[in-house]
Amino acid sequence: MEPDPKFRYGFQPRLPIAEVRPGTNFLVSGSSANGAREIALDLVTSESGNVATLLVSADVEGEVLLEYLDDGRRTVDRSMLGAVDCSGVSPGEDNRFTAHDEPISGPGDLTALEIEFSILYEKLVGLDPDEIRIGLISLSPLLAHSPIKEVSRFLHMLTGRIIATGDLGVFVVDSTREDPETVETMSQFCDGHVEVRETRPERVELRVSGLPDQPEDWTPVEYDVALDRWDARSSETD
Amino acid sequence: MSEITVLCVARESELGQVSDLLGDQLGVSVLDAVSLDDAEETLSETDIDCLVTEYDLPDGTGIELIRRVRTSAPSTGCILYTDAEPRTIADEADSGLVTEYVDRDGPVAADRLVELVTTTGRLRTQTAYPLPENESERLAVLDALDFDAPSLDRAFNRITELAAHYFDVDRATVNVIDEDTQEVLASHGTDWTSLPREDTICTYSILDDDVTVVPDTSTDPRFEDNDDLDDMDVHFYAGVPLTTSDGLPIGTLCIYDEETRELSDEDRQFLELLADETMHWVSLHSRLDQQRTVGSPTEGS
Repeated sequence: MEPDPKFRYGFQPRLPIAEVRPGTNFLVSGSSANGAREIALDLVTSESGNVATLLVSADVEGEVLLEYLDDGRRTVDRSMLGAVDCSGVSPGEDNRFTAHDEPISGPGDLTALEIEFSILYEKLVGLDPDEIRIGLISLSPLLAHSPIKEVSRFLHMLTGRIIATGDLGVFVVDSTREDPETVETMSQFCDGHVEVRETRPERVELRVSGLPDQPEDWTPVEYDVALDRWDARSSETD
Repeated sequence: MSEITVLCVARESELGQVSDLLGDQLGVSVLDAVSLDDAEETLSETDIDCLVTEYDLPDGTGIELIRRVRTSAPSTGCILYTDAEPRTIADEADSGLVTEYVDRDGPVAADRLVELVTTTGRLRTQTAYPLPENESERLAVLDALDFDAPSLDRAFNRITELAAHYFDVDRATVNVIDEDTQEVLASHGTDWTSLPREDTICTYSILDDDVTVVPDTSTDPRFEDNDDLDDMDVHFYAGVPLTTSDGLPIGTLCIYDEETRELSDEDRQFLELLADETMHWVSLHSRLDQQRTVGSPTEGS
């Protein structure tokens, strides 16, 4: 069946980001790295039903990332959810939909990551969802373990796939850990760049560049964002 | 769009199935190989856009083949289409090898393969660098331009000489950025002719409308591990895109130095002025070529 040309990826009404075309890729970064991670989790969920979400978890264990996503603040269908865990922290956790017994050794294993991603993606496609949202949180551990050239090739391949399949891609980079040139390069593989900054405890603002009809100026996110929970977990994986 | 050429490498008993799938459904040009040696022979004779390979080959593995392709033509789209055990593949790849993977026994394997061959071939999604938004259009325009005129060559050489003297740097070049290479059309202080696109700074500067300055290549994450720049003694770079009137960045004018340094706002403006002058010559020659074509009698008439 041909896809509906009018179909758009919408977001939760509380998130000040307008709907986008299928095949759109976002990079999310900013001075609030944890804010970027939380906004990315908002972007990969929706209030509309029959949404499959595939997460690649590099900052924290896959199970923890799924807990953060499904913490009661977002609409999530657990049966349509999967995570590829390449944090290298917790082998064999239950929520991976993988076909293999062994975990990915760590965020530097790009071949294993692609294989696990493809297998999980096909399983989600088999559930016949209306939308597939893909989130990689975050690219920074990948950049710490592989040359920027190979991470670029990997990101280019994923964003290209997302364009081809008409899915939604959300990629986080921790700009507090990376040089501006690295963040800029990663953003050049994506259509839109969402920047996030903290204004006061649990509150952030965002702005979007590269896409039409999105907030270009700093716009407050009018709800509490769980910024602190990442710090303890991230320090464990460092 | 130019035709996509795909090399399919599989065991003899399965090759026909994969080739037919791509040839019939996609209409792409399909080359066949049944072993690593066979594939390498084809690769030495023909440029391909996409490689589709089985993992188990009679004289080696698909991973070995992908590694060799990444060395000789790094931007080629590579797809492992296999029923081999994923862990075996990942263990051999070890890490850092980027390739698409399709489980040949998967429920929609054939559809996925067709989709990925189209994407990797058409959008070139396995380059290690970002492509300008209008890459296909840009390459088509570049293909139609002729840079061989002696007067154009003289003009480019004067501009590089002027740039090197004005900025007091040891090298300056006028370049076009082709599909996989940076072609040096004119240079002052170097004898470079062609450089791999994956390794040049100009690959990144054509993405920016403004002047790109790298004050110290050894501290820029994109270039700090680039041995070619080190070997060429390039530690400072400034470049500005050569942009057509339609906004397509076809190449660059750039300056290099062995010493790290900064570039003032005034200097940036002057580099842009020289780039405008370079494009003025390109446009002038393009118009002259068109007039000559229109004015010449049609062959055979």
